[in-house]
Amino acid sequence: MIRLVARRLVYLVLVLIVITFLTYVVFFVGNPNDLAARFAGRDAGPAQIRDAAVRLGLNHGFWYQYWHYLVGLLHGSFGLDFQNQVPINSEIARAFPVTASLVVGSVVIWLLIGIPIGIMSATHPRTLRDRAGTTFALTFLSMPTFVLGVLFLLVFYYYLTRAGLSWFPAAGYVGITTSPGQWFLHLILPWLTLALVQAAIYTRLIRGSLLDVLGEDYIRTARAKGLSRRTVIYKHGVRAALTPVVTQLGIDVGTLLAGAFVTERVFGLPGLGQLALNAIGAADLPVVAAVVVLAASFIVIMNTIVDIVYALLDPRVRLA
Amino acid sequence: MTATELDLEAATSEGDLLLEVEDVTKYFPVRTNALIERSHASVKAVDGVSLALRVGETLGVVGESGCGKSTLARLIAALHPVTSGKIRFKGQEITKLDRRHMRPLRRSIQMVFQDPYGSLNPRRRVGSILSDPFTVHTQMSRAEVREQVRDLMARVGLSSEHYNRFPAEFSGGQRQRIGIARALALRPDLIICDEPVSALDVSIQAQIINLLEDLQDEFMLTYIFIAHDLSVVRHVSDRIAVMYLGKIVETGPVEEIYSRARHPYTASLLSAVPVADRAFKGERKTRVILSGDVPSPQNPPSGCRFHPRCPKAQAICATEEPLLEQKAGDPAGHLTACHFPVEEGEPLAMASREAVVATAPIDGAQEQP
Amino acid sequence: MSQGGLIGVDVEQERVEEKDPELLAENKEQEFVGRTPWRLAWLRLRKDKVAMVSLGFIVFLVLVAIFAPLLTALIGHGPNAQYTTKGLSLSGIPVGPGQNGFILGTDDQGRDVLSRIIYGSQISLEVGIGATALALAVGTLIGLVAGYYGGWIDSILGRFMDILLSFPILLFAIAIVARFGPSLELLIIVIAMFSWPYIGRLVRGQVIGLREREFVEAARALGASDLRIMVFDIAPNLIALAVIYATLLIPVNIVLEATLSFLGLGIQPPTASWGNMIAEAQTGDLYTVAWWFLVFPCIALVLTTLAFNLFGDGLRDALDPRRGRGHLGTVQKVKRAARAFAFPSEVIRAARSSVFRSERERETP
Repeated sequence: MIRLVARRLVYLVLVLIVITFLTYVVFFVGNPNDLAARFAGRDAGPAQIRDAAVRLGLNHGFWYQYWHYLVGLLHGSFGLDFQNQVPINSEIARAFPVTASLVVGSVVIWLLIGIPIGIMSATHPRTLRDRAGTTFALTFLSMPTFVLGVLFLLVFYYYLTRAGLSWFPAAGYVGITTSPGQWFLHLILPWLTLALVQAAIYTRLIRGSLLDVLGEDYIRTARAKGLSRRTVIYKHGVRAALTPVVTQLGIDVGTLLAGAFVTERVFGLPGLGQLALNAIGAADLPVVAAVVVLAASFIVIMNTIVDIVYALLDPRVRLA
Repeated sequence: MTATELDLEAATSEGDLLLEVEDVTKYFPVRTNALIERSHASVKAVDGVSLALRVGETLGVVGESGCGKSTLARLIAALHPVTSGKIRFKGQEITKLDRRHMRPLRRSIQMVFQDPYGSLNPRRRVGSILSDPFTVHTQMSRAEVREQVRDLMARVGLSSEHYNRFPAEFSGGQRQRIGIARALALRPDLIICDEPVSALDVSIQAQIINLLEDLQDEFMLTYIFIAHDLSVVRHVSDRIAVMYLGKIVETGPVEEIYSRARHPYTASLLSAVPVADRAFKGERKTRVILSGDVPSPQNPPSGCRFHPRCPKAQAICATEEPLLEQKAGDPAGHLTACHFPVEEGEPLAMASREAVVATAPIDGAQEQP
Repeated sequence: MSQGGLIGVDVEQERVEEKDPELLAENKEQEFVGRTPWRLAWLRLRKDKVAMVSLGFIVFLVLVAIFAPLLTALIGHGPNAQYTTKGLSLSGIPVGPGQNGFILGTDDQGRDVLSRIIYGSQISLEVGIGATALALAVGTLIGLVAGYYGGWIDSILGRFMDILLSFPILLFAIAIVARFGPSLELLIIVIAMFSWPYIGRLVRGQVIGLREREFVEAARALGASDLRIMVFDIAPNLIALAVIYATLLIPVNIVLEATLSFLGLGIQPPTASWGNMIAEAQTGDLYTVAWWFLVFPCIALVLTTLAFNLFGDGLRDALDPRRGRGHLGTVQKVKRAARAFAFPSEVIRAARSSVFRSERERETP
């Protein structure tokens, strides 16, 4: 297990080097002066641009800047942003709780919806209940997140509000420490948006994997030796069928923590995704690089956790 | 005199040597944990095998599954590189040849595979599969290739109307005919048949065996015939080599082996052949039942590899490896690797002889001369 | 059929089932001739009503995209023309569906929503199909090479694909488009760049299995070159997989394009794309009273995605080689049913979850 973690750490470092490098390449291809000019202010003369370049460290060569950035990372610092010369660490510290609230809440919802429907579909294959589950999954699966979000806002915010029912706030975010009630209300629609699309995927995942498991010999043996259908399904079947779900969950959480861009944009939540989108719009290289680094780290770390959980769930998998 | 030389001598005395295999080994590395502890364990699939083959003869190779007979076949067909040792074909060493120089030799050494379902590409038409040998090795025009393929199909008993069909549309026996046609296409000298009938129904086996025999007569083919079915091997072979855990333990002319097996392993194999006629059953009290499983080829027993399971094993068997050599009283060409070969009249030998008597040849009509 | 004993009836049913009753009826006279794997698949697909309806919709959509200029000419409204008098009410509210000759109404600038949707389909299909084709070509090639050669080539290519799959795709796509400026070509390239590893991994897995098959060994025994084996022996066995996953990747890529356009980084207005139509609608407040210019592009997008997903699903069902074996046991039937409903975005999932599987395999020999 220690070796697994160690190897993943090496892999993580490799991934980070590759993607930060590519981020830098993408931004620097062409001329760095262009970048400096953007931050030199309106109608800046050559002198001001040069000043800006010095201030942002753009006067050094590409390799120097990249190296400088890596050294900073090693010290746990993402550096200062280009726009306001604020430490990026504090910007991320502000944005991360928003994204985490969004993701954690919707994970709970999508598992609560997805797992029961998936089990129901698998235990009653090709019945009306199964068809209903399939229809549910298909509908939301074919719906891009932003479409669902936009339609939710239209129906649950505008139409309800116009009908005199101000149940949901429009957009924005209130910290949980500020007002837990408002925090909850502001997040319901984003949670549902994200959760419904994901729940659809999980329904199918559980259905498929449970059907596979229920067809295995050992399940039939369990049935044959006289265990009740319920015991077999819940004690043996579901447990085994959850393994792929755990894998998927780890990957999804890792990816979403890096920024549920679309949901955040639609509902105006100032999370990591919004931070990244704004930074990209402003060509604020260090911020973009920081989010990229975070994202890849989350993905790799969650995968490592998944592997460990995987081994705990399934004794056949040994951890090296 | 080493075993090889003896064997070679026996072989050269009667015809042109086609193939010589000299002390060939094949070790497959076993990867345990890659990163740090690279362990050097390996499976010794073939471990010091020597044999020789004359033009036009059929060598039967028998042994339990996992004894290395299929690996040996693939080494001779140059599908795997050897770990050590030499293989000479028509006097030319082929183990060290690079791809380019190997190519012309591929025409001469062909292979028929065990699984007629796996050895034909399910997504290609039969005509296309059979034209492969011609397009790879010759400059024939499309029409010429087509003509050749039709001839070939007719030769192995397939209707040329089947040209455009997919393998899935054929029965197992028909597919094996396609496999044989492919091997035969370029008129090779040597065809290695790797359990060509073991995946087929018993009723079909005889047809395929007969086809192989007819083709041998017609094209002067030399066969290496690998099987675990002793009665089939006996029927088709001139000589037999018995393998156990990567080594040849006994080799000799077919009738010699079947009537006077010297190695306890051979004897036990022969005694295990099922009896067709109930009348013989009463006499078969001396059937040798081997104890234990085949040991792992990754860590073979010391000395004689058969000793843990051998009814005759003594102390020396565990320490000293017996050479494959001619034993007293045996004719030239009958070699046995055993410290205590089975004597005629010994219970073990009795058992094996009875088994042979009881074994009906595959289709009864043709007995091997 | 005579009423035989119970056993007799059973046997009869079993036999009919073995030969797939639908196909039996279909081919009563034709014997076995012409039953190529593709034809079999087509016969199976034709029985799948959902898949056929979806195919119908896709064909319809393709025709709409091709004949977009003709159609809009028939309607009489160009996609970018602003009908400020006819298309907007006096207070500037868009005209609703069916009014003043606007079949699906107008948007906040008085443009015909239907015409814009028709032109938007061109973008969606161009990007969806274009990016998928590109991804398919690159993914198949690299997956084939990695799977066939194995060893260090596989290690390097496999790691490369892993790293690409560990990328925050959307974020990176956004960064690239932001840096180089949005254009149709760049959009296709960027989307393909991040979707090829999915195909690559799937192909690689398949090739590793195929490489060990006896027919490949047979080809090698014949002296066929590696290239020849890859092209003639392995590639034909990949076509079914490639077709299935390409069909399932198209909607993923269409959504990706729409999402990028929605975020303002894809197709730039005034050129109509379903994504930027939705984004434009959402920037104002007018859609709250004139829902149609928000909802119709949404519907177009969802229906298209749905059609591709359903069709891909049916296609997988029809082409799955494991189905072709004829007689299925109960277990296989259940598994088959499970696969039949296994899901579209699984393209991504399948590849995603295999990101770290290569490592897992190495750890558990």
